[in-house]
Amino acid sequence: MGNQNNNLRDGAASLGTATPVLSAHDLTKVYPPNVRALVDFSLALRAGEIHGLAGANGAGKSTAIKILTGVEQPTSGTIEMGGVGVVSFGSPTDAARAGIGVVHQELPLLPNLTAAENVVLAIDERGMLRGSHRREALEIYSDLAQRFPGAPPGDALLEHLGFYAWQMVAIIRALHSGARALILDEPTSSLGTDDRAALHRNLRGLADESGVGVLYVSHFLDDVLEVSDLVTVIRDGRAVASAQAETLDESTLLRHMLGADGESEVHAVPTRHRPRAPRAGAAGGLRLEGVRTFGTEAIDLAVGAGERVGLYGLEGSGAPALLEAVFGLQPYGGTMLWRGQELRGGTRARIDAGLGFVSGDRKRTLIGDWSVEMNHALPWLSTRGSFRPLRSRPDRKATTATIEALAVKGAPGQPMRTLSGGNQQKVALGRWLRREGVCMLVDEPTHGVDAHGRLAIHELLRELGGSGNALLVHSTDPEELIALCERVVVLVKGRPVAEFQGQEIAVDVLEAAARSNLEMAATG
Amino acid sequence: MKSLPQTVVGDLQDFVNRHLHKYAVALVLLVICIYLSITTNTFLTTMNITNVLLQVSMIGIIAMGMTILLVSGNFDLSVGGIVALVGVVGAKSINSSGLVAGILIAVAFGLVLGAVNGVIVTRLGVNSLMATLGSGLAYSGLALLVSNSSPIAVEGSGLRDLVKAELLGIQMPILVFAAAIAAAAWFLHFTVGGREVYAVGANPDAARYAGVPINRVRFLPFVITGGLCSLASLILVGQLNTALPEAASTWALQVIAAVVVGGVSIAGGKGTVFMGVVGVLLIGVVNNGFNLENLDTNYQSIFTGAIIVAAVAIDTYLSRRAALATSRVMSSDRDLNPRPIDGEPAAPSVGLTRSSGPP
Repeated sequence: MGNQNNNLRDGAASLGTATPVLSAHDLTKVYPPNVRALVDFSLALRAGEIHGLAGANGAGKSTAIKILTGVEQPTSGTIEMGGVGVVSFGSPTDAARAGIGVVHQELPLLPNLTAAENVVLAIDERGMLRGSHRREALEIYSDLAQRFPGAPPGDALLEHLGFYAWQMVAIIRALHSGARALILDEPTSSLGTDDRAALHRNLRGLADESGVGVLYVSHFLDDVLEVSDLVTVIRDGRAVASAQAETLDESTLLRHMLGADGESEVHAVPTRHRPRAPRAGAAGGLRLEGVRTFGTEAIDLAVGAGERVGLYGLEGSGAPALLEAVFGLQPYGGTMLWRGQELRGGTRARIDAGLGFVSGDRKRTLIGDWSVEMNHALPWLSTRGSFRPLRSRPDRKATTATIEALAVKGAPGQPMRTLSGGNQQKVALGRWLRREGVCMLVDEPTHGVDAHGRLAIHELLRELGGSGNALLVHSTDPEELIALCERVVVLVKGRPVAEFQGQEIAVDVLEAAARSNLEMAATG
Repeated sequence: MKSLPQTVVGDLQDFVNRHLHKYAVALVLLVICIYLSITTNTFLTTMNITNVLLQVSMIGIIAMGMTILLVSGNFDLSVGGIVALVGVVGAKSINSSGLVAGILIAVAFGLVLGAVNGVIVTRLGVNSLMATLGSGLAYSGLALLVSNSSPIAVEGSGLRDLVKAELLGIQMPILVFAAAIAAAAWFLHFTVGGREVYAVGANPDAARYAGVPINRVRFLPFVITGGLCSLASLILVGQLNTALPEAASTWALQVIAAVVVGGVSIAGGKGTVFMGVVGVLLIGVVNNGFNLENLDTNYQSIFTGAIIVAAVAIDTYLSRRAALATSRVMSSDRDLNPRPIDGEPAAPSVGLTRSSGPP
């Protein structure tokens, strides 16, 4: 994969002279009373260029996107479109008409329509939905789609397709509406390794052939470096650095993102976990015997107390379903034991037995309008019985303890949604730690968390495993499992195909195991 | 120096934005009360106030259950049917087994009818709107069947005497209303079960992931509402000393309208007992005002209808502002906030916004 990308990037050297299709001049956005989300932010996106925009959560990425796509208006500064001049977007419709296409993490497509219908459905000047005839739609679609290997057929219903296909359709739709500047917001956060590579190939092809300027906004530094020609780093609402991607590596980028005070933390990044001998009483941990649930075959797995085990698997591996089954959220067959006791019943019984679960989707784990304290206390309510009075003092104490122990930036009374992704995740984890010796099931621990928060959460999970808790983590990111786990099991289509320990765990090893077995599964 | 007052004003604005929506309807109620006190000399009299409270008491008692039910994310359109059926069965039971046994049977029967709704919704997975629309029709039909479609007179005056009884000069229906308010407020705001009702209404997934028994939490409010319906039904029967099989046919919508006007969200997870009470009182005071001002009663429905729509529209507007103000004050990072898609304003509630990603 790497070679191909290097070859592709060779063609990008001459792009420096091309005229910008979209440029932002000194954009400033102040939210009342006095929050400066964006300060004198300038950026030039040239035709045929992939421009990476990297920044931590809260750095101003989303504000920049909102202003460039007309969702919000800047307090000062201007936006200029190539060949048009200075423009002002009163609404997203204005921006779309001027040639700005945007593909968000959540795609506003209609699952009950086909790919082609989604693309040709457009909103006209009067705000009315308008669609072409079916055959015309298919022609328009396949015309555009042939540029994208792996794009779904035009007559495929979207509800039957995966995230990558949705993303392709969203990109094709933006092109159909005449986008000359395409803004991608965290495009790889829901993609596996293969789809990610395919997306990057397609973006490169799009930039080279059609001359569309692509603004690639992400906090995955490796992705930004892999696909971009030019990278701009945003921090505290300012564009603090801008350089050719070839001249950058991850640690330089991270240093720019975190600023001067982040410097020491960059050096503290642990490259490798400390190998640890299995603890005494490891047999008393979590045991799965022939556990079979939706999308998995019968799985045997043991996680000792004090051990940290990873499940590596791409989309369709069945790992998230397995974690949910262990937590009693999914029906399953087979036997599960924790500390020698068989796990029975629903989620409540499993929490009481000592299990905890953090889903990869924080919107489904936490209640955004509720305070940190109320979210923290929620799992412990039912143990007290429906008509018992609420007792806020122990809850406040436990929440404060979590905030202090995990260095959460937030107050107990603060609404959950006002915390950054990393801090939310800390609370989601920390609320299970009221007890000693728990079995933590964690799905995608740092999904949508910035680089800074990611380090903190990894540190936390490693400590957790060290203090006699059992940790079972699923991630589609091999780097994450390397940072976290002593042992990694590779799952392909619901089947454990390989297991690696200690120093054996490496990115290429995990990816190779997952891919070769996926191909075997496909041919066999 | 110059920026200081501006910050203070900004903070004040944010504070108002964040908290105004909770008390907006109460303010409207207060303004209407003040207006009526000034323009009429009959409004602010003990007799008139008692009158208003008596008129709203039955709707109000049921509204306390409906508040809990709406917060849990469900509806009950069958309350009218429950009132009618419990009334008929209660009257027959009093006639056959005496006052105390009859009252106990009526209350138990109300709880059972509520439980039937709860089972249909939580076990069979039927949407509560359709489930209770259906069960309500069935309950009304049963009331007609059991009574042979004719009123059933209660023998003796025991029930009527009980309903007309006074304690410290306050009539029984108002006392029961007050007790229902206290019980609902205690349950919803001070117990574990109440907190779980909010969790299930706001974000069922998050509740499930935290081990909240969501079916049990959804079931209980139906039973509570059924029980409160039977109390309201006994008051209705006692006032006339007769059970009418066709009584209360419009109550479901009246109760829901009152609660929603008060500011309880029909989307679940939001609202307080205070809001429910304010909504009930607002509807009662408006009706009373029309009578006192001698206005054509035909305008009454039009005006009430307008209030319902306006209340919900204002509430939506204010809670959106509140959500914005909160996120502005707290941080610039709004990770859990729903992402605006194509310029659609972000919905104020997080748990209810589904992403439109692939399944």
